[in-house]
Amino acid sequence: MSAQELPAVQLKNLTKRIGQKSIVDHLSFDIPKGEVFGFLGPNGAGKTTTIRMIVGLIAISEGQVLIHGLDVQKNFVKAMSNIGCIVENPELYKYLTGYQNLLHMARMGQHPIDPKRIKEVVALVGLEDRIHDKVKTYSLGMRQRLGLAQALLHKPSILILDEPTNGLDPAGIRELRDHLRHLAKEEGMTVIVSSHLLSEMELMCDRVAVISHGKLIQVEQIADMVASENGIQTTTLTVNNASDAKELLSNTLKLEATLSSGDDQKLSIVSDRDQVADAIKVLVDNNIRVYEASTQRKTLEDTFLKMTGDESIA
Amino acid sequence: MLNLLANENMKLYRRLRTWILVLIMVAIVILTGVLMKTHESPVSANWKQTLITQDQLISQQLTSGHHLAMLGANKAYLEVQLKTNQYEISHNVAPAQNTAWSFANEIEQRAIGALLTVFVAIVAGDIVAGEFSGGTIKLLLTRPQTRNKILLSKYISTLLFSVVLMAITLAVSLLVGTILFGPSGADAPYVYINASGQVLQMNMVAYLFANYGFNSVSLLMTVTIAFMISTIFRSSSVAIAISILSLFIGNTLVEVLQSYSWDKFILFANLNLAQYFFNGPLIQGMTLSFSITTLIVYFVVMIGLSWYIFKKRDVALT
Repeated sequence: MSAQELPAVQLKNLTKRIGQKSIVDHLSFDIPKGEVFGFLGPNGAGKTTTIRMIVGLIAISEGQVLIHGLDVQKNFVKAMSNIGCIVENPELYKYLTGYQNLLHMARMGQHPIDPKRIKEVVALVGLEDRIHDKVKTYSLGMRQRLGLAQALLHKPSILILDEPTNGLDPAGIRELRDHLRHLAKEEGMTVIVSSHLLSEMELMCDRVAVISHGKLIQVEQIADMVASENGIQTTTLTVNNASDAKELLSNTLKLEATLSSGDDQKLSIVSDRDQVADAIKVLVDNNIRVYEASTQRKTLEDTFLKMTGDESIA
Repeated sequence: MLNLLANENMKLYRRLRTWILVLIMVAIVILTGVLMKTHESPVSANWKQTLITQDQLISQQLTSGHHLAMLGANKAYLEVQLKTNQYEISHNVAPAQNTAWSFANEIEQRAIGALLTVFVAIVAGDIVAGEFSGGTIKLLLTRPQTRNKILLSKYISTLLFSVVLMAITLAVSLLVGTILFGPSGADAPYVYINASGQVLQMNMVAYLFANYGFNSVSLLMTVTIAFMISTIFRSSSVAIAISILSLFIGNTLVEVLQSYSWDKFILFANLNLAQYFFNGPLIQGMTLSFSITTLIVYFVVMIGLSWYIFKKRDVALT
């Protein structure tokens, strides 16, 4: 099999033990190329430990990590040539300038980096004006951007970001999200992110691996996780008379609606999309005024809580 | 590897702290020079006559075999005095007069030895631990470079810094000495008693370089101790503090434990190899080859431990 057809990253029975305790317990899954892939899990689930094993910061107790088929333990240097990463925070030398930090990064690679490339990434993250200032004068957002420039400097095929949205303001998060999606879609980069922010993951990722207590619960497409089962959804209708509406729906469409307690204008129905349209038509035809119809989408959070057994996320 | 070394050097020399250390060093050399210049004892007009009289007295004592008077004076010391006096008379150099070379020696032995050690320990103690406390170790270890090479580049750059600091000290002390006391004195003899009690002499230039040579050996060990501590403790302030503390406690320890036979196996008892050439060993029964062997064993163990710990370390497993 050629390297082109291999998944970007493969975990095979990846395990980290400390004493008797397994922090990461026989994780096995593939991360396909060109996707934004998320690690999702409650605090202490083993996301960060897994990422640190992938990038060689933590020794692997058992199992394998393959980067484009290269074993990280046996072929560390070659495997790491494909990876750019930010683990936790962007790590920078504060007494050096932004440019010197990038120069330092450039020298850490296996292949020489053209000064033009440094200029290119500086422009990419929009730091041209401040790149020759010392990093200690940078704001948090600028440090994040410089960190990203560092990670992208070697044109990695795989970008790994651990909790990338930590400490970013909403605008920064949005900027990062757009950036990552662009890298995956336009440049075919595989992006791996871990986060505990479900809403962010929902917007950012194509696919997520849900991890709890060091074990893999499921790998699923985000689209599937938020889609309703068999197209059945819960719709809440706001009308001028809820009890009349309930009776009408029951008689004409055999649809059993539930009245909402404490609000005599609201009732909800569990049905597919077409039935919602039918229900509205019947109500309108019978002179019941319909003010609002809202469908409750299943959120990633619902699915997540179900998967991890109601374990709270933090 | 050269790239990694360039990185380590950039981090060292682009940092204000490094230059503050160098500046303090230079300032102390200049200050010492100025103080010595202003407190120079005036040369009495008839110093030559005094020395001649002293020489006659010493010669008498030596030939008569009566080594009386002069507290603790023995034959060797008298001979040292005699030879020094003879040089001073023949070269018209008043006793206790400073020259560029004697000043450089003075600086090396009294003012700078301890300071060099402390400064080198600061840099070595921080070079690995600093990356851990700053979090930047993650940057180094997630790149396509082996941990071996990363640690080696750090060790080499620390050694280079020690050499640079030593060279600067030597150059500045010779320069300051020349400006303040004149360029003479290079051919002045340094008369000394060797370990077996013989009176020998070498010139000041040779003596100066010999001292720097011996100092390099102890500095190499200092770097290695601090470097090891730096890899063990992940906080740079703790690593620096422990390195410096251990260097000071080490020397005291050797003195305190002198009555025990295993005292000579302590690293610090062996650091000063000059003791075998000048004045004789600190502890009876120690030899040059014993000290060299002991130093090599300590060196191998400390380097081995540093490498083992650094390669095995899980970075921030919480």
